Amino acid sequence: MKKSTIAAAIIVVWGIASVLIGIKDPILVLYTGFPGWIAATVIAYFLCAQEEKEEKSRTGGKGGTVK
Amino acid sequence: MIPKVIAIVYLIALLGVGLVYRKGVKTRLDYYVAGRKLTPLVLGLSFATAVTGVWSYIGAPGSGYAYGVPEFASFAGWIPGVAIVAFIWAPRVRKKAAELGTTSFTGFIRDAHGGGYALTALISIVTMAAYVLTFVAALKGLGVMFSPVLGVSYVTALLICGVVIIVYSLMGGLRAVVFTDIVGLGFMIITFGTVIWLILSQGGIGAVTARINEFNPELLHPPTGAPYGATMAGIWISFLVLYVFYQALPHYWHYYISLGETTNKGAAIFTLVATASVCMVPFFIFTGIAGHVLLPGVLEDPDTVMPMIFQTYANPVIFGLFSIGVFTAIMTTFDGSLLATTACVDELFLPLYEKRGQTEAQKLRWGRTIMVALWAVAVIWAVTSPPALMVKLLVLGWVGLSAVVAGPTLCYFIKPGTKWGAFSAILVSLIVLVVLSVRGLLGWIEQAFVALAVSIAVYYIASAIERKVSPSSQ
Repeated sequence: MKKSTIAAAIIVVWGIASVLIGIKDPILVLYTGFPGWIAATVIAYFLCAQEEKEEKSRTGGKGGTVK
Repeated sequence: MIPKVIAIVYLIALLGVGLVYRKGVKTRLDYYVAGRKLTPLVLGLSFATAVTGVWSYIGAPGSGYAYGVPEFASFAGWIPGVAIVAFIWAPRVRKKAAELGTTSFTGFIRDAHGGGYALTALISIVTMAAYVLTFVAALKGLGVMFSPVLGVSYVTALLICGVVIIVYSLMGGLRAVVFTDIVGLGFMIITFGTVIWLILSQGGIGAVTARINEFNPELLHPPTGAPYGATMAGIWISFLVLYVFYQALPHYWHYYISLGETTNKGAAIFTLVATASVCMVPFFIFTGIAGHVLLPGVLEDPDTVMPMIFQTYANPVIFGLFSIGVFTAIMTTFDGSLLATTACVDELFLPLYEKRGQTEAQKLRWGRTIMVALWAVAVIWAVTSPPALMVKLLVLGWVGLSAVVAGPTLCYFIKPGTKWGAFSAILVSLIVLVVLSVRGLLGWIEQAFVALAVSIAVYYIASAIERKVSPSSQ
């Protein structure tokens, strides 16, 4: 599986987890859900950056699938 | 005095932004979509401020004050929505818009579905009708918020702020709009820092939570999901779904059209900055709920909770910066949607420009004229109606509009329909939404979900019929 796919999945899965936490105890989302989301997006960023770096080294300088 | 000085300096600086970006605007492409060269970082910073807007400063804390924690749910749905936009949707819209050479939401739907003036007219008129209400609400909000800061009447404050916004938007186009959005994010960070300081100075989240529970436990553990739905579980799940189709709003779509080439790393940057901004808002909501224990007495208008807290607890400089933050938030809502709406309405006149053989410079001039006309209608409406914040109007109108256009926008990337499919989807779902609203049937989220389902169903059914009747249809 591509690292960018894993990255997007992490954010969405954490989103669903946060909603479940919110249903149980909304105040708990302040401590866990929202800060966790920022952490999830930071992890996603590093995964995507790593994927781009690997693509660059594989293709000889031209990295990252242009969308 | 200090807030007034900060406000005046900021308003003058905004005019400078317009002047700086004026030189780069030569064509409609420059004006409406910044040459389609926005980077994911810039877009993420701007998008975050534009999407949270005035609701984050005023409406959401006000709703927290009035109803308690259900407002948290309205922001929890954002992040998966933003991730889906960044990784899947925005790059596809960008690519297709570049292929089609379109500079507006209207142009995108029309060209993607194979043209047609009827479709152009419907989308442009629906967008214009929905957004003029937004402009009026924004201008009234500026008048109400800035009248005490500037020490002038409601009408004078509204006119001063309105003139500044139209001048820099006319000069710099989307580049000026995006730049001012990013400046707005700076003020949002200052507000966030102040809110955190305030919570900590009151003993932290735990201590404030205990005081709220002592005051009224139902604020943190409400029996229903009011004002959004019958149950808390229902609204958390509804908002998760809602924010996926909410991203089809014309002025958000306008941002995707303006995006330059991107990669997955770009999508991750976009998600990161947008998420970091959105995640500040729940702390504003918590502060709004805490208004019950932080402020004496009961507020008549819940939307005043954040200004009241800042006026009571922050020093004059911070209060001044908060006021500018509110101004910036209203402004980002106004300028971005004004530009996107102008681009849509401009499409109505394109055949006329072509017929008259207008040059690119003349077309650009006409575009700016349309922007002034839309602005003038909103100003006259706002000046002649009573002062009010009307924050809810911004959000309610947008949710409805995003539901109505969901068929030909979201579904287009799943399986494209035809032009009459798109036309019927917008028209029928709009009629359904208006009937539900006028008759007061269902809650507003439920109304939006019904309109969404109708839009999607009609899009595919009408497209299938059109293909059957005319096999050459797209």
